[in-house]
Amino acid sequence: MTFHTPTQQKIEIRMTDSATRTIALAGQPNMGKSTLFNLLTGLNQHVGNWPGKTVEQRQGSFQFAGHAYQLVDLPGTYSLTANSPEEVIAREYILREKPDLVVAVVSAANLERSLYLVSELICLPVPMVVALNMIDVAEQEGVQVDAAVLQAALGVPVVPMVATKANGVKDLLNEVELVFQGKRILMPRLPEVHDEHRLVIDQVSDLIRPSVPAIYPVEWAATKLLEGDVEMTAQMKSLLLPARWTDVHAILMQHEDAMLSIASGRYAWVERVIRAAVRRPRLGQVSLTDRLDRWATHPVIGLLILAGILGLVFWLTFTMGSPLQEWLDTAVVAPVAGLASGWLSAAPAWLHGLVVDGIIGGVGSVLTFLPVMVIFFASFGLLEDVGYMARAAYVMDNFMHLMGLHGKSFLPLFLGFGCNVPAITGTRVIDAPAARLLTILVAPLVPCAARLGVLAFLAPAFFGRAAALVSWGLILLSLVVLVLSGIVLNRLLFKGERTAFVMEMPLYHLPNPRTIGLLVWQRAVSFIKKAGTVILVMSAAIWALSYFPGGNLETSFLAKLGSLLAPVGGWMGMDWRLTVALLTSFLAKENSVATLGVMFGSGESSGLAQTLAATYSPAAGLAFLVVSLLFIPCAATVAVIRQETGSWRWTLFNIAFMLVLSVGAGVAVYQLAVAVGG
Amino acid sequence: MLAQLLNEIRTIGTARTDLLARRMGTSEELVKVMLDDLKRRGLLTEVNTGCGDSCQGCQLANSCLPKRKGSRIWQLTSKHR
Repeated sequence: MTFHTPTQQKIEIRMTDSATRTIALAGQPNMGKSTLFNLLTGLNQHVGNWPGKTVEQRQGSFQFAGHAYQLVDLPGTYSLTANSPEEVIAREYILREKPDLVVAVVSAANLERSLYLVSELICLPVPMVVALNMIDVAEQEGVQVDAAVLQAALGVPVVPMVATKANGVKDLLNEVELVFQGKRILMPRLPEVHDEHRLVIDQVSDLIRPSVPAIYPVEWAATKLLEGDVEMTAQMKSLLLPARWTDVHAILMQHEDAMLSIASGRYAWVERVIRAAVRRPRLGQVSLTDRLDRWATHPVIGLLILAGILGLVFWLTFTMGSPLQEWLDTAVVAPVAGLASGWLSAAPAWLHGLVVDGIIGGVGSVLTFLPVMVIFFASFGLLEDVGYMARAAYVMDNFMHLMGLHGKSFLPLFLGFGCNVPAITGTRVIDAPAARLLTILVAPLVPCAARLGVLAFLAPAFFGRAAALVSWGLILLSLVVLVLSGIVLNRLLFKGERTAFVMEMPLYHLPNPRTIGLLVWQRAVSFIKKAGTVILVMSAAIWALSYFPGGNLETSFLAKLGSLLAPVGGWMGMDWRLTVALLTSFLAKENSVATLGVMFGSGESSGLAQTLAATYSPAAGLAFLVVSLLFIPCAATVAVIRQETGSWRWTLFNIAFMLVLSVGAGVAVYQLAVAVGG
Repeated sequence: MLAQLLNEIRTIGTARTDLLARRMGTSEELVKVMLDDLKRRGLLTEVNTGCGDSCQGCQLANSCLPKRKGSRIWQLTSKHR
């Protein structure tokens, strides 16, 4: 194993006059630094604040091999650039107070993350020992770190340990002792700097040399200036003569790219160290993820898999959910309606109608699709928990790019499968106003949970065994309409600007029944609450409109309203009842089922689904489902569109757009179905 | 490496950490560390994929589907230009 870096320096051990040796513990957060500190100092520690800061300072003492040690726990930091008070404290302490030695605590399980700080510490003129902590965690995760190779690669002593179990702590102290005895030669291997920037560092070093405070190595100060370090920039600006600072500043401005270049040199150093010392065999879960992702994230095959999985979810939902829904409808809702009817036989007709037809007919019908919802959400929860949903989002994103939609849009649109409201508020992640507006306008076309519930309830009524296939086709139709709308609006509103994203794919893993159960439970409770509030009130209101003024549905206010809309409904094969049901879905999408339940009654002999199947042709049923999926958004979504666009004009445009789109699609589907033979 | 990573992200559009690592000939872990570094420098921002403040009061806020456990998403900020 070879490790080459041309830049080396030998660190001389400073023989301290003091009887007490001072060690600073440095490391990133969560690397086990505090555990090691507590282990070494026990009760001999003092907690206060760093001078002039609100950051906690912990110091302690211990004895080892006849020597007294003072241990200073530096704040956890990611680097030594002045991005935070912790980073300033850590580097100022090392440079000003000059501890006799620094122990850098790194995690063997996450060396990539730990070593960046080491790449900065190693450049400071202080002896260093690396505590390679958490080797047990690394082993559990299949990461093999060769401490000897790591030591050779870094050029400083490396001691493997497990601080939580106090393993390796004595070895660490022995190594520290050997360093103090001068029996360890420290030849740190430093990160390289690009030749071009090497010259710039030299140039800046020459300019600032006379004014750099003695505690800072000149080259280090020049590097920090090139990195855009706020603290160092402010210091040098105040210390240098104005003319000299102007020269320095001009060089810094010319080499703004140096900031990333210097950090890149450190990452290249980290990579070389890791390549030399770390083995990460791609076994088990990782290997399986790699193999599955070759298909699941493929631009074409991935889409086919997604379509197949959606189809399977619907098939499962209908195969298992529909019989349960029918059973609830005929064995629970109908008998409850019969029972209530019996109890209220002596009550006024309006009260009988309100309870039996309004409340039980409306709310009862909606509640019967609870099993369908539970199976549907359990299926999606399962896909989420095994890690598939991130892949679905990724392939959908690629697909949307192909179709000219904005890249950032996929995130909020994906949220829309749960509910369109967070989908629209989620568009805040999109910076470009036109792109955001476009996403808001197409977001209501994503079939939300409520619309999927309506689809799951009505599709079996109209299409029996073919319900899963029809539903799958309708969902795909919604998505195709969304994409086509996106393309058209995209061309009108903005010129296809693309924003870059990076996604991390989680590893596939076995699902956790508790997580899925919790998700299903929360959604079921939410659904029942909605049935007991919005849908209850709407059912009562719809019943009132269907009862008054004369107690007859055919002459009711609702019928009058329906007759006004009947001509439009007629184009789609719908009578006034279906048209009114669509209209009431404005307040909540489930209301369309509740309204049908009120108008057709809870059915003393048969359930609502059977009544609808007997009343309407499959062509009319198909048109109704298409319009339901594409119809104007619910009231909550409209409110949030107004809030997010800040414009009534765009809100009304969206309503009109969806209305035209849904009615147009409904007419086309109905006429086509009739022509084909529906 | 940071500049190369930034260029790759710009070029690909929608990138995956594992594919970026493969293209750059490095480990996915190091790519994620560098993404976090770019985030600290304000060149990337992390996207909240679960429910945010705007979902307060929503009954489904705790069970919103795309929380994507173990999966993070970063996006380029305007600062990278």
